Amino acid sequence: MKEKVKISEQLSAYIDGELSDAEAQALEQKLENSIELQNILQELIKLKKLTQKFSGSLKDSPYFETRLEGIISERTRTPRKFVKWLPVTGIAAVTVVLMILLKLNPHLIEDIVEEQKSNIAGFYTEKLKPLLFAAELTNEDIFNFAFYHELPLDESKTNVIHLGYDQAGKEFFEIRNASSVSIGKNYEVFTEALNFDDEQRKKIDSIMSYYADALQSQILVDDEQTIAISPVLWNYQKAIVADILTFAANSNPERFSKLVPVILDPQNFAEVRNAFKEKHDMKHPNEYIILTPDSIFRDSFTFDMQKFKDEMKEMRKKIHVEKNLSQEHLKIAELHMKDPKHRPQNFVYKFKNDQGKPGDNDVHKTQRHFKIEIDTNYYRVELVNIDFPTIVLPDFDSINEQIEKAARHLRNLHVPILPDTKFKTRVRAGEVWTDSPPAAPTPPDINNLELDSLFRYESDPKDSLKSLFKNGGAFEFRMDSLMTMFNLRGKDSVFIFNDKNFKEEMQRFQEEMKKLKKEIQELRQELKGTPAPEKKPPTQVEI
Amino acid sequence: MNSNNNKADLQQPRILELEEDFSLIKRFVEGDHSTFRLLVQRHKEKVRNIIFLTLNDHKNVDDIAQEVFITVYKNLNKFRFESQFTTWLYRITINKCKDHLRKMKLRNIFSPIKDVENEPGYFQEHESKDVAELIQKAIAKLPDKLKIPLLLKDIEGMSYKEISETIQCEIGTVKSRIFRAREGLRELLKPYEKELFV
Repeated sequence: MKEKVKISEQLSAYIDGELSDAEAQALEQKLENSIELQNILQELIKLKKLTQKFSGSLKDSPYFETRLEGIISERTRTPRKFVKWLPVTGIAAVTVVLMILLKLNPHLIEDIVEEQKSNIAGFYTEKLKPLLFAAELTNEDIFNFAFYHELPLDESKTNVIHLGYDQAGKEFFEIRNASSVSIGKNYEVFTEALNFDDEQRKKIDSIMSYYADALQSQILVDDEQTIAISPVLWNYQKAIVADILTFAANSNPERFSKLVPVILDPQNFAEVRNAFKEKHDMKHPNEYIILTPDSIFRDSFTFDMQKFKDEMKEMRKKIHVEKNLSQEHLKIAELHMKDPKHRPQNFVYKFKNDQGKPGDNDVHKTQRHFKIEIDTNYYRVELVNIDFPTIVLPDFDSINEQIEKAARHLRNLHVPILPDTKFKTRVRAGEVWTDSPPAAPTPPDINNLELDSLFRYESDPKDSLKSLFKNGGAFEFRMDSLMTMFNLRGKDSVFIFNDKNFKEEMQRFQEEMKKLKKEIQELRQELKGTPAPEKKPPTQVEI
Repeated sequence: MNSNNNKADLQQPRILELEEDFSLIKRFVEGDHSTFRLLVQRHKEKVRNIIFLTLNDHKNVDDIAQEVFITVYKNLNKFRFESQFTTWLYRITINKCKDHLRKMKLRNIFSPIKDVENEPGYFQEHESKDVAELIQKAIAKLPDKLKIPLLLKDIEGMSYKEISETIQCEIGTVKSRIFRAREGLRELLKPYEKELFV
C-alpha cells in the first residue's frame, strides 16, 4: 500500500515535471508495464487539467493601482501603526511628563488647585463692598453690639447680624430680624450713669468711632449675592467690651465699682486692647468666611477701607460737580444707595462646601465644617471652632470669662423705679423695651421669709455663659453690697443710674430695710403665738 | 510517449523574467517610486488569483491584494535579491490569506448561524452540476495546507522549490501535499466522475 502511494506521489510529481531525469526514466519503465499506473496517471492529468481550467476566474479590478496608490499615499502621511497606537502613546507620554513634573514639583496639582481657588476667591472678593457702610454705625450700635451681640446691617436696623452661642457653647453668627434688645439708647444711659465729663465723653466716643470704622470692613457684600463675614467679629465684640470697661474703670472708678461691682484687672484689659489693635488693624489681611450662591469658603484678603472711602468721596464730588446737584439731591442719592431695596437681599444659596482656604495646604485645617441653618427669617452659620490662626492675643482667653461676666452684670441688674428717685432706667420686660416699670413682684412667703430672699439673681437662661457665673472667681458678685444697695431682680434688666444723692438714697433704703426686718421679726412672733421677749432694762450695778 | 504528450499538453504558466522585477525594485530603492506601479501591474492578477483561489471568495480579494502590495511597498527597501521577487510576494500573499482565514474562523465562532451558501466546498444534492463550480467547491474544501501548494503549482506554475520557499517548508513536503491534494480532489469529485472524467 505504501509502495502504491509512493508511486502515485511520484506520478503526481512526474506530471508536474518535478522529477529528475533518472527518476522520470525509472517511472516511465514502470508505467509501460502497469495499466493501473497508467490509469492513475491519466486521472492525475485530468485532475490537473480540470484544476487549471475551472479553478475559477476573477473579474478585472479596474483602477486597482490607482486605489492602491491612494491608500499608500494616505497611510504614508499618517502611518497606520502610529495612528493605531497614537492614543496609547499620547497617554503614556502625558503620564510620563506628569510623573516627571510631579517628581520635580510634588505640590504641582495642589498649587494648581489652590491657584484656581484663589482665582475663584478673587472673582468673588474683588467686588465686595462694606455692608455696614450703609448702616452708618453709631456709637450706640457699637455699644449694643458689645453687650447685646447684635449689629445692624442697615440704617433702618431691621436686619442684624447676631453673634451667639448655641447650647453646646459653640459660637455662631446669624443674620436675622432685629430683636428689641439692641434697640435703645443704652450707650447714652451708660455714659450718663458713669457721669463722664466732656473730655471723657469725647474719649469714649472716639473709641466707639474707631470700632465703628473698623467693623465696617468685617462684613462685605456685592451685587452677586456674595457676603463675606469675618469670624474676627467675636474678637471685636470682646475687645470693645474690654475697651469700654477699661475706660470706664479708669475714668470714674467710684461710679464704675458701684455700677459694675466686679474686680477688673485694668492691666490685663489694656493688654488685650493693645494686642487687638495691633493684630486687627486694617493693614493686616483679614480672614473672611465667604458665602456665595454656589459655595462657602474661607479666604484672607485686605479690604482697603480707606480706598473705598476715597472712592465714595470721589463719587460724591463727581455727582456734585458734574450734575450740579444740590445738597438735597446728594442726600437723596445717598438715601437711594442706602435703601435696602438696592442691596442684596433674600440670599438663596445652594451650598457646595469647600472649606479649603487658598494657600492652606494643611488638610486638617481645610476640613473644618460650617454648620449652616437657613430659615425664612434668618440664616445661621455655625463654626465648629472659631479659630484665630494668625492672631495670638496674650491672655485674651483668660480674661474672656471676666469680660463676659462684666458684661453680664450690665445686663442682669435691675433697679426698681422709685417715685422720688432720679435714676433713669430702661427696663426690658420680655422682648419689649418699655419705659414703664415691670409688674410688681410676687409677695414673698412671709413664713419662710429671709432677708436674703429679697435678692434673687437670675442669669439669663438663654445665655450659654450662665455657667461661668456659677463657677465664681475674681468676678463674682459681691452679694451683700448689692443687696444693701438695690432690690435686685435679675431677669434681663439693665441698671443704670446718674443720681447725685446716691448716699442719701442708700441710707434711706438701709433704714427702710431695717424697719422691714424688724416688722418681719414681729410678724413672725405673732404668728408663732409667743409674745416678743420684753427688753429687760439694763441692770443697775452698784459700785 | 503518451504520458510525455500529455505532460507537454499541460498549460505552462507564464514566468516573469527576474531581471525585470529586480531592475524595477532597484529603481524603487533608489527613489523612483513610480516603478512600484509597474510591479503592481505585473503581479496583481497573480496575487488576486491566489487570494481568490485560497479564499474562494470574490468579496475580499481586492482588499487583501491591496494589503499585500502595501506590505510590499513598505518593505521593498529591505528586499535582498536572494530569491525571486514573486516568491517573496506570494509568501506575503499566502500569509495575508492565512490571516484573513484566521479572522474568519474567529468571527464564525461568535456567529453561530452560518450562511450555508458561503460555506466553502459545501456540497448539496440540489447544487448546480456546473463543472467549474464543482471544481471550485472541491478545491475550496481542501485544507489550506494542501490547497495552497496545489494552486501555486497548477495555477501559478510555480516549481516545487518556489512553493517550498513561498510556504516555507521542504520540497518533499510540497510534493507530498500536492499529491494528497489531488487525491482529496479525486475523492471529492468521485460522485461526479461520469460528468467530469468522461
